[in-house]
Amino acid sequence: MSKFWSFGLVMALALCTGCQRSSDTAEIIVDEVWSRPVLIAEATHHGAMADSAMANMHHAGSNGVVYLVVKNRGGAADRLLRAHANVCEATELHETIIDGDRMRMQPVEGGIEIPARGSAKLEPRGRHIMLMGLKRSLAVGDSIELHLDFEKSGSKTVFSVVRQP
Amino acid sequence: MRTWFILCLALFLSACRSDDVFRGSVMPETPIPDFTLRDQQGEAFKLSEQRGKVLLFFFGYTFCPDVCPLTLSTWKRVEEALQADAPHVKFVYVTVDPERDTPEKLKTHLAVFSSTFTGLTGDSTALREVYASFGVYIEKVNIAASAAGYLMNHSTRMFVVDQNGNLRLLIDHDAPVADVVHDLRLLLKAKK
Repeated sequence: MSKFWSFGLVMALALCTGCQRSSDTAEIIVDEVWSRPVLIAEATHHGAMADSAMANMHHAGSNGVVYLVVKNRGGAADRLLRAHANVCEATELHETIIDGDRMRMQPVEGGIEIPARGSAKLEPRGRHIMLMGLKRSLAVGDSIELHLDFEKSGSKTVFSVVRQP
Repeated sequence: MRTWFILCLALFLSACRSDDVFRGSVMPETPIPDFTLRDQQGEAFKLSEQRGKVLLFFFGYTFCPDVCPLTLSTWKRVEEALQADAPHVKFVYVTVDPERDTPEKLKTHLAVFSSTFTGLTGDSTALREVYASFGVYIEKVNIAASAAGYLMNHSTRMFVVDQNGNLRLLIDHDAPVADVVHDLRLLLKAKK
């Protein structure tokens, strides 16, 4: 009988620990990761680009984009702080804001919040990950390795599939 | 009884959407002043030499990863859906960022979408006149904290110019492909 109570106590403790973990941690799942195809000229391929052009990439280079959905099954909010991809020179979180007929694009300040037991969508005509200065063309069917840094959940590696919108 | 009512209502509503009415915003027929810009092949593109074709204009830039290429993807689907009518429509992408968008850059960028799309650039004076003719909003925004250096705010609508060089329609950038195809076909039919 005492064995029965001991087992019950252990189970109850495990359950409470699980509840506690779920309520004060973030559980991040990244889904629906995709990019559109981009063709870049030979002259702008990495290695073929002149040093001066590389240094002045503000005014050169072809760009790509990554869209995705971040789900948070945990009880605490998290924040996507930044992204990295070897396929390009720089990666930034941006958002497109459409106001009537006018659009503007701007960097997202302070990252993107993933609410507790909620999700954040990075989707066309909204928030997105901008891949600046692509080193190679992105063809339909290609896969891009992407590292996402979260405030609480740390770094996660995902793969973006290139497809037509 | 309720099913019949819903069915009749659906039929009535679908009948109300006439095929002879434009789905984009109809403009008073306004002649666009003639202009000459440079296409992605380096050749001169003169508006007055395009008479006889319906022209679909969009003002964007190749550095943009979002709305501009999404609009070009819509154009690709519109061109495919137009089938035999496609050769009577010209898709014209005018840069709002001549600093970055050389003819070579436009050529590479547009090749992903269609070999028939025309990309236009030119000197800033000529481009400013074209923007003014269409009433296009453009603003350069320097962003020191971004590797982009600067970004361009701009209008998102598509502009439809008829076979006689008159501005006829404004179409939202996220309009359904079927609506764009419908309006282009309606213009083509009207002039046959």
